[in-house]
Amino acid sequence: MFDVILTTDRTMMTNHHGKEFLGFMATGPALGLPEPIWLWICAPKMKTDKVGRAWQAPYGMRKIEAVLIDAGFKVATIDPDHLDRHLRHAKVLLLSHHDYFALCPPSSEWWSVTKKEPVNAKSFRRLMERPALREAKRRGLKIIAGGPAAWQWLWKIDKWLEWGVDTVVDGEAEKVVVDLVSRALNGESLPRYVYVGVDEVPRLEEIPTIKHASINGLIEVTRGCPRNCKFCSVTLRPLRHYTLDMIERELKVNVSEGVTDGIIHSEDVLLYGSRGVEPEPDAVIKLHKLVKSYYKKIAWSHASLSAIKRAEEKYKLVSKVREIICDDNQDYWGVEVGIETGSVSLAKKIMPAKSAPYPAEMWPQVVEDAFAIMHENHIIPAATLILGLPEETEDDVMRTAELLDRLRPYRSLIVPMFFVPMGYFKTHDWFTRVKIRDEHVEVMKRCLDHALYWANDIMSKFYLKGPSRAPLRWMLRLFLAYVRWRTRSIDKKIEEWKAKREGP
Amino acid sequence: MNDEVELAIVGEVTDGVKRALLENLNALRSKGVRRVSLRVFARNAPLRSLEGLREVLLTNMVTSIRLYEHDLGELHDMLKQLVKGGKEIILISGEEPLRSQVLSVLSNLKHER
Repeated sequence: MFDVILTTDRTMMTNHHGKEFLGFMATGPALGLPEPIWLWICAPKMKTDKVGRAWQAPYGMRKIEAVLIDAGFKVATIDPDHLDRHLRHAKVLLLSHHDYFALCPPSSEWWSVTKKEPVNAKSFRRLMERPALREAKRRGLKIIAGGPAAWQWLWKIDKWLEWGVDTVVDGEAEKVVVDLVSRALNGESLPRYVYVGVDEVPRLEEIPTIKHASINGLIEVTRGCPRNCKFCSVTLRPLRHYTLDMIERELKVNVSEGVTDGIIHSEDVLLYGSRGVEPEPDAVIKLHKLVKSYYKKIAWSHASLSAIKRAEEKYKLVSKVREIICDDNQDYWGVEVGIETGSVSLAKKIMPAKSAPYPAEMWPQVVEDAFAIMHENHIIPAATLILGLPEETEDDVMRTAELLDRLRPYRSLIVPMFFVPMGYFKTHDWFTRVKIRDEHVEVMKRCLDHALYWANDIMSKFYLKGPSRAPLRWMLRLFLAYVRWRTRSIDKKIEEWKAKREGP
Repeated sequence: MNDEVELAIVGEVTDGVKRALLENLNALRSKGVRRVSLRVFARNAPLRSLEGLREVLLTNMVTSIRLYEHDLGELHDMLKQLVKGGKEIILISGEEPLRSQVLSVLSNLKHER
């Protein structure tokens, strides 16, 4: 029996068949496939032990679990399918999510384009509306919600009330969660809302080691980012690089629980060990040698395009890292990168340091060069673009469309995302402001065209190769065929709509 | 000044209250205050004051905040408790009748001390 339970819904408590990128499908509604099949593709059930503890769980939840275990609480991270029986005894339920209400891109985009609620929000709603949870709430269960999407509760007060959430915690919670859980267990009053400011984030030595395996072996190596982009909240936190000892401890935890592939998590993996925007080659090489000595296959969570260009052109660092990563077990690796815009003038306004050490004027060239470096080194990026940024002009969007044409030769997926205010912009009322214009549609079409051009190549030759992945590959091919068919019919509708709007 | 300050909003969250809260948060930050306990004494339904405060809460990205909700009827006892604890308290109220009520509570507390 556990006093404190951590959980989340199925779209989060899953390892996406070990293919992190399939998790993107959980941000959309089921399209062209029945929802159970859609969920089987993107969010298969997690293995559990006899009492329902998840084999792998989201890394952030593992950090909170570790803090609470260290503080002596009876705590466990429970798979949502096994939650009900634990709710009979638990006193505190901790929730986390990347996108509770599908307000972040790409969920918000899927929703606005298809007019259908994405499966992540539906799945979370099902979790919160289960009778066992309501019954536990009546008995006095305290619910504390946190995670990267905690801010969304401020826009969903009705659900906050209806589902009986007691406290929402926004920010790195390691130093506040023990006090909150103690208060909840002792029947003391809880704050409704907690914001963890910059002085309350944990110092490096206060960050705990996870006690159990994380989803797809993800391990954090750095917190914070020095680039100060206006649309991002991560940049507000102080920069902290984990020591190699800290990283090794977490690698050992994952490997000892049977997770042998993993993701290196940082806002910019190539800046590991750096105090600014200039890569530290020795630190990056030591990091990769260490991780590869534990994991058979590795991927990067994020890297900046400017660091990729700088690292390769000045230090041949990407090639050196490739020699460490690529072996008999893997011949490519994936990463998320941010293009955001192809417009120099917009880049100067909203992300002047994203191109550093190169000047902002070089941003489109930095993007293209980095894509070429990744293509040559078998790195497959999932890149994002941001549409609808404040101060964006028609010309800015067209510069982005032109850049997309220049990126055509490079193996990648490029995902357009409508701006959601975070960081400096996060008070903006975007619900009413986003207006999809013709040039946005053009960029979205070019992104889709780019994805369809490369999708089969990526799936068959890299991502899902081999006979064991055949069923998944087949399902995804079916989905891609559906998308192609739908794209043709949508194109036709858009042209008809434009012709009607412009009149005879 | 303490590392932590008590800030109380009494009554409805008006535009003036929001402005005053934001100004106070900025001023406290520049004075080195790291954490603010924000107590909202409201007569309306639970959490409704958060809708009014959302913009200010999301604008703040630096100072730690703990927001507590109280019924307006708890004002006297809560202030008494905080004053006894030697806490520094900043009071913000946008409703004229409540301001005099708050002043009367403070005056009573002064006499009690």
